[in-house]
Amino acid sequence: MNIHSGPLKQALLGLIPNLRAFAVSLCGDVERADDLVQETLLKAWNHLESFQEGTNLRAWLFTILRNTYFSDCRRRRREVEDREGKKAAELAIHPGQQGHLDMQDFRRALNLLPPDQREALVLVGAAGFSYEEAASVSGCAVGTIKSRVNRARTKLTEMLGVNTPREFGPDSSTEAIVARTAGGTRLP
Amino acid sequence: MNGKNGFTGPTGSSEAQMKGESGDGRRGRQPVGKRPAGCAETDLEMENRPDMQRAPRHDSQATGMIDRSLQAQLGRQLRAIFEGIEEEPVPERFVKLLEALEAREKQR
Repeated sequence: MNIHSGPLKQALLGLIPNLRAFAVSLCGDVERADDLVQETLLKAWNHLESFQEGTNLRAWLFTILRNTYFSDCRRRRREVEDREGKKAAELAIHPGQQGHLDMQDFRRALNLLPPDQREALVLVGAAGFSYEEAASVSGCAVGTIKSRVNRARTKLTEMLGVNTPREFGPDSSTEAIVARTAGGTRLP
Repeated sequence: MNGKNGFTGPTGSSEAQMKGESGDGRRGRQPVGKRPAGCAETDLEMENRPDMQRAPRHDSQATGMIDRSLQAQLGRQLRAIFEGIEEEPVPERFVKLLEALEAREKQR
C-alpha cells in the first residue's frame, strides 16, 4: 500500500488550520508562520517513513513545526534578541478600568515571552495538549513544561501590569469573593 | 475532553469552571494528585489558586484570587487568537503544495 495515497493528503489538509494556529501563536507573524507550515508539510511528506502509524499525526506534525521554528530561531537569535529588547523597552501595558485586556496588548505580551515558554503555554493552553503530550512535542520533561507554563503566566501577568489587587481595581464582587475565601480559611 | 482534538473541550470546560469558581472558593483546594490526566486546561487555570498546603499569607490569597481571574482572562485571549486563525480557510498555496506532492508521488 502506498503510504502517500489519498488519505494522507486528506489528513494533512485537515490538520493545516491547527498547524497554522500553532505556528502563528508561536512566531507571532502570519507570513513566517505559513513558511513554517509549508516547511513542515514538506518535511512530513518526505520523512513519512519515520512516522509510526497509529501514533498521533497531529503531535508529530507539531513536533516537526516547533523543531523547524527553534532551529530557525537559533540561526537568527541575535537579531531576535535585539528586536525584543527594543520592544520590551517600549512596552507599557495596562489594562483599562474594568481590568479588560486589549487583544492587541495581549498579542504583544505573548510575543515578548521567551519562545520556549510561549510554546509551552500555547500547546497546553490553546492547542489542547496534555502536559505529557506537550512534553513529548517539545522533547523535554513534563516538569519542564509545567514550569515553563507557570513562568509564562507569571510573566504575562507582570507585563500586562496587573500585579496587585489595587492595580487591578477590584470590583465589589471580586472583593466579596476575596473576603469570603480569606475568611473561610485561616486568617487571624 | 481529552486534549486530543481539543478545541471545544478546553473552552467549554473553562467556561464551566469560571462559573463554578465564582460560586465557591473551594475548588482550588483539590489535591493535586486527583486532577484527571489529560485535563491540562483545568490544570492551567487552577495552578495559581490558593492551596491548603501553601504557606498562609493574606496578601497572597487576595492576589491569588485576582490572578485567578486574570489567568482565566489570559487563557481566553490565548484561545481566541488560536481559534481565530484556525477558522481561516486553508490558504491556496498549501492545497497546491499537497496536490503537487501527490502528483509527483504518482509519477514514480
